[in-house]
Amino acid sequence: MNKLFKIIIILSCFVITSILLMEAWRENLNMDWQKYQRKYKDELFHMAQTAQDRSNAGDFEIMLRQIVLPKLDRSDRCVTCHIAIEDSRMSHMQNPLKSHPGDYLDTHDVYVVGCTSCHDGQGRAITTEAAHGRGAKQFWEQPLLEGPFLESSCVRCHADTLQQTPNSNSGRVLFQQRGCFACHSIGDIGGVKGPALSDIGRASFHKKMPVPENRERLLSQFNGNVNLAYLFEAVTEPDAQPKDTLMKKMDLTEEEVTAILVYLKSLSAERRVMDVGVSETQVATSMTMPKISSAKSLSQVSGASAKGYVIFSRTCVACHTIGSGDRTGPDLKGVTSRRNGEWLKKLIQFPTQMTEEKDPIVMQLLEKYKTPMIDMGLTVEDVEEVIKYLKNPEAVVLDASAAKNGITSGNEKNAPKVTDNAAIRKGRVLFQGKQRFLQEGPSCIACHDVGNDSLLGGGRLAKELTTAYSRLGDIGMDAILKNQPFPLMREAYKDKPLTRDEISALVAFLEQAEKEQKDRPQKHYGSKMFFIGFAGFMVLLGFYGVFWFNRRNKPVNKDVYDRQTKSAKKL
Amino acid sequence: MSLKDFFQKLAGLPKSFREFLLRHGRPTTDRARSQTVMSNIFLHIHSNRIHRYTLKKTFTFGLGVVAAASFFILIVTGLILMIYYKPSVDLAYGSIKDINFIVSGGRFVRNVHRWATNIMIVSVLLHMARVFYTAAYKRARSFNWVLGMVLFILTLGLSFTGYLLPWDQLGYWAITIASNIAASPRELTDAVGITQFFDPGGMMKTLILGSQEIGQDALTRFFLLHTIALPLAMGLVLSAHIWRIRKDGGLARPDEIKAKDMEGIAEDDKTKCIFNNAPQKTYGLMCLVQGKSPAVGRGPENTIPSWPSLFIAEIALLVLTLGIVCVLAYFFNAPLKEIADATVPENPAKAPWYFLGLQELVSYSAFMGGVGIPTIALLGLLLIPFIDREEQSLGRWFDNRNGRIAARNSLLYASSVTIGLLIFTVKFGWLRNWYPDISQLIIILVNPGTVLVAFFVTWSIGCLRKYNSTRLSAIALFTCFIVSFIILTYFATYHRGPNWDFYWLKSQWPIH
Repeated sequence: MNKLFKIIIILSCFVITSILLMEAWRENLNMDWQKYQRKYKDELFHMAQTAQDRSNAGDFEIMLRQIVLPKLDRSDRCVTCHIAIEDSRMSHMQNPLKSHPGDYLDTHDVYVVGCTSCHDGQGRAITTEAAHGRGAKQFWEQPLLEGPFLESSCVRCHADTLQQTPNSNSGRVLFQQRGCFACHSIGDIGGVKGPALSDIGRASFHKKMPVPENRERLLSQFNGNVNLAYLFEAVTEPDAQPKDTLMKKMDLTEEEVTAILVYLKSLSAERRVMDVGVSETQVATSMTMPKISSAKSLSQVSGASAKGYVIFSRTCVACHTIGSGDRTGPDLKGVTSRRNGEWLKKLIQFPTQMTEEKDPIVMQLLEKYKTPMIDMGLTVEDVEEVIKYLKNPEAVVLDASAAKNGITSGNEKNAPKVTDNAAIRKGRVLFQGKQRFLQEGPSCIACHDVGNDSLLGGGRLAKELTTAYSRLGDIGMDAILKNQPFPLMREAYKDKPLTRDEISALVAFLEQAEKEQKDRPQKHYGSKMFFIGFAGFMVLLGFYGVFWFNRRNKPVNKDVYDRQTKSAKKL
Repeated sequence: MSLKDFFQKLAGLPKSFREFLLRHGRPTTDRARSQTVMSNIFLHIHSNRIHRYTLKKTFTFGLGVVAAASFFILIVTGLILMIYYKPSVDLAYGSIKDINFIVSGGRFVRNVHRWATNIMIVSVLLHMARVFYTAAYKRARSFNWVLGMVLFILTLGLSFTGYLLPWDQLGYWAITIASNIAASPRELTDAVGITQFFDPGGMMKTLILGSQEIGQDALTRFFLLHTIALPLAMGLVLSAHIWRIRKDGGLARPDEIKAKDMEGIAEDDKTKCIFNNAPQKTYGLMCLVQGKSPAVGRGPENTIPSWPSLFIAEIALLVLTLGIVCVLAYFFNAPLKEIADATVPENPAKAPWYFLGLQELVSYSAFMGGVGIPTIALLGLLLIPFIDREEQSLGRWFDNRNGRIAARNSLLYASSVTIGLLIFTVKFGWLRNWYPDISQLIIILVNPGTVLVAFFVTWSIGCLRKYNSTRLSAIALFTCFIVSFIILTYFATYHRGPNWDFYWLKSQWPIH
């Protein structure tokens, strides 16, 4: 009986010890990165010419390495294996011991930008499989990017179209030209029929995965990047999932597909603002978007053509403007007088049918604009409303918040400069938070302070703004208040932008505050300070005198004590 | 003291240290061992001599010891994990990744923690079943049965609160489901129309999460509960639970033990001989004493020193548990999905596996599955010792032949009823599919969950009538509940896919 238990104990102890040893071996002695670093060290010795080189190579320590970027929430341990990334001597080596190709590291300091900011992948991992995050079984949203798809990372920081990102640039153009906006929205712009694509580049691939029939093929095509495989399937085989999709298969060449994939992959709600020597305002604050004012719901507009306006700004606006020139489709100003009413109705409701019927005017337009019009699934009433709006685009009144939307999303004009007293007063109460902002953004005083008599104790979280006006000037302040380039401020005012009036009032107030502060030099009290203090001291002494004037000045048992000491002396 | 003395004392240091450690000499004799057991607070959780029936392997299967052992493993690994874990929404996921990737042995310790959890839950459940089927909750042991129920709830609570801590999709959505189960009284108040005045479900959910959604508040209180409050409570109640076993006279055992029961159990030589001639003793008084001869030099009948027999068995179980956990941890990683994202719901979002049976019931009716039936089941379990007060012999599985038959019949009955009802529900739907406008109140009252309970209660009453015994009726009901719990858990784990639809295999799940 006890013998059985003894056998169990001995066997279990043996199993536990061997498992622990195996785990220790696997973790401490058998990691791939150690092999790579040893190989690198050998290579360093091999290449060493001078004694100094040899001693440097000898000093190379085999250990975990990482680039920690708290601001970007990254710990990139890629350099544990890719050890020679900054070592230009290693350009002839094979990955992972190769140096970084191109001159990108000269402009993108690896200790500021990190690795995964551009390449994606799981920076925290230290095994190839987990770090590259390829395949359907890795629980990591952003597998390693390769080849042209790296461009999509550039666009997340650089607002301008770059020379180095041809695919992304043409993808963006294609997205507009092919009328994708008709159904899909990016940000505020675009239709509502298809899924919104603002964050498609970061979509969790466990929801967005190619269907089982395509999975293996597409995964191997994109080297295990599930996200790209899904995007490819969605673009080239829209009816793969869901089966009853309304989306048409687009006629795209292979290059065009790649370009669109790069563009889609770059769409991400996440902005990366890095301290790389570029001023933050120059960094992308919003994806370059066609600047169209849009209204989301009827509640924001009134007027005779309101309903038509809302339909127009949800659907048609992706391709058409009224009076702002041709886009993917023609400018529709005065279209109701140019064209026959019945024809227009039919075109808006059944454009595909008219294209198939080879309607002469439609064919003519197609030749000019190249992009066929898409069925938007509008009802007869919707079409009537749209035509009513097209006839009379002025009969729409946007209410205050919608008007603000138009102003803050379109960057055409800066807020007009005002300096009158009313504006200053308004700016002051807005700054103090005595009056709320229209969109209920937090008041400035929560984080900022201004040296001004009318204000008591502002926040210490953000910069002191007394001299902000002279530092930034009208335009600078305007831009900051409008676009909020600072991460915290952007977070605070996300979806709660300031209106034009508020901005100009705040600017006026800050200008005034600075002026007042300059006019009034700091007070110097000089020797007065000393005398006031002395007087206060005397007053305090006086208080003592009054309160304790009748106080005993010796202890109650003093007599007894004295007697004792006296008698002690006698003895 | 001379220098010579000092060196002599110094030379005797190892000896005096040994005496300090082993205060009663080497534990080589029974006497020294028993003194060691009695003077050591940890060893004295057992009495000096225990009944041999305690060691019967097929009686306890060592389940309680396995549960306690996995609890100790969890405490140790949990402390190690706490060194690296950061209980903040922003940092939690990253710290788990770091534990997995770069902390020395971190991945292994996390795996051990995970596997020990599962082993603990399973062993606690089986331990409860063992105590029930051997009627070990009777007589003075009813108090310990209630303590055991508290431990059962604490075990589930500990595992549940730990589920959220990695802050990944798996934990996030599992806790979402579970907190919605807590909010399920809303279904009833909604149906009655008093939610806006009285909302116990919402109150319960807010109490658990600290807000309406799972966020930092929920993480903070789950962390606190998981690492401080619940383990402390567990330690206290567990001590009481183990101490009560001693106070109740050791493990339950039959009143009359046959020789057949004790086959293969170690025996004490001293209990074998009736009379041991010892020359230094006088036996002269013997002839004056009436009745049986007093046994001299002989232990109480059928007992055995707890050292070594019991201790070695327990240590063996502890090491065996640790070994199994280590092997599992080496080969199977604890799951860690993507970082929690409130905007991307998992579909299906499944609760931790031990709640999946409940989730299946919740899919029929949130209130009945989430609150009604679990409350009935827990209350029933708590009250068993007070309802079933039949005098009977303890310590035998299913008591006797009748008990075995009742348990077997209940097993067959419950599995056929549960499987039949599942097939029916999957194939034909339920009231809402037939009468779309039906009142929710009716569905709360009549759904597959309540129908199952009704079937089981009827069966148990039938047993009561047939055998005229509350004990047999309790066996029938308990078996029914356990069997349906297992079947429902299995069904919800493997055959429920996106939107809680039925699928034969996981590979058939649609993606979109």
